[in-house]
Amino acid sequence: MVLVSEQDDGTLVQRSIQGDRAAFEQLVVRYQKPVYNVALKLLRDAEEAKDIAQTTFLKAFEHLQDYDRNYRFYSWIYRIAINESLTVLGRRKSLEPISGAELDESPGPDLEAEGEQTRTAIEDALMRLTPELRAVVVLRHVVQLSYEDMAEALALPEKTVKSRLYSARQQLRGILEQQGAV
Amino acid sequence: MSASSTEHTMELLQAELDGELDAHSRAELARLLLADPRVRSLRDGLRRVGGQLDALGHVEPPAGLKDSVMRSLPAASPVAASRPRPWRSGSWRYAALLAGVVVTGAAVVRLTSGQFGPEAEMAGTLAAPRSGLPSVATLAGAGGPLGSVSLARDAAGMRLTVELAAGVPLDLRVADREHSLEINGLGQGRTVLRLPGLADAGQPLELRFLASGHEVAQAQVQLPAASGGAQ
Repeated sequence: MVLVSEQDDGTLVQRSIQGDRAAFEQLVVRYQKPVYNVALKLLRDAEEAKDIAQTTFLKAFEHLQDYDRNYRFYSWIYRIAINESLTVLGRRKSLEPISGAELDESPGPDLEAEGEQTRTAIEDALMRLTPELRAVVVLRHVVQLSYEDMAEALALPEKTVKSRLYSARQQLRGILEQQGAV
Repeated sequence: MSASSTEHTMELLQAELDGELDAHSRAELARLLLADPRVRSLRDGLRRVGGQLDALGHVEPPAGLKDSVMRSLPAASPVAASRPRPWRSGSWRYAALLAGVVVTGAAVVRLTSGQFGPEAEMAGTLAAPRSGLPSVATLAGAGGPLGSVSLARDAAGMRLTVELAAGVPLDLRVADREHSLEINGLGQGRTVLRLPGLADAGQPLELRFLASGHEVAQAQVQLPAASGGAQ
């Protein structure tokens, strides 16, 4: 969970708007890890995730004055990161979802420790979800947002978020059972 | 279990997993778990998947990410980057009058021309206006910051929030492409102005603040044409 007070973020945003780059740097330090991880889990490509993180902060900086303080800053920045990631995923749509045959090519148990193998199986399963379902799983399980925060970040009603999360988990459960990973 | 009760049960199980179960629902779920082994099995399956997803964890970002981000930022501050265009003095009509000020700092305004457009309902905007003009602006006076303005739209229509730190009452002239209006005697603190029909989404709203007839600050704000992702 991201444990920061909104006031702190708000103060940093205000100082950044007034030209205080050190304030924006603090926001980058605070959110670079979750933003990078959101992109990484959505794209499963470290280089692309780095690019997305950089673009996310650049766009946030350029549009700081448009940030509506009725919302949490991190919801706003995660939304930018997700939108950027979905754009990248759209470009490589022909490669997704990863087929079952490709998943079978993952290293066997003799090559990886059990924990690593399980994590790989989960990441493989995640990549078989649609990007929209993957996004709710990432926001919930990677950056641990509440339903309310997820709804803000995705600009969706909370009910839709819950429904997507439910569908995502059901699909993941099916995929993982098929692989014998649960 | 029927399809609807299964769906409801899954909703409860999911809320439990996500720590979003209220006391009433918790009791309901406890009863279901006691009564039905299938519910216990569903819960076990959901928890296993949830546990595995939680174990994905965080990866450290590349070491140079922060520096790389900071190097990529434009030299100008966000304020400077989106500073309003110079005012075309003389081209504005200042004939509008403030129709009245109501309690709690809200003002009712009358436009100089045109009819009020339909009042659209829209959630607060996280998104950046497509034109690049901000919906929020700080007011920089010669002697320092004077306050800020923010434009938003809700179920009641357009809403301009003005927060002033100025020690003297200011007059505000607001104009879009077709209308203009003047609000006199804005005091220190927060004032909410309702602007039905003025500055429909996508249309810039130009603001001038005057003290004793002299301009002391200006700003341009604009709402995005539609809500969406911040790009």
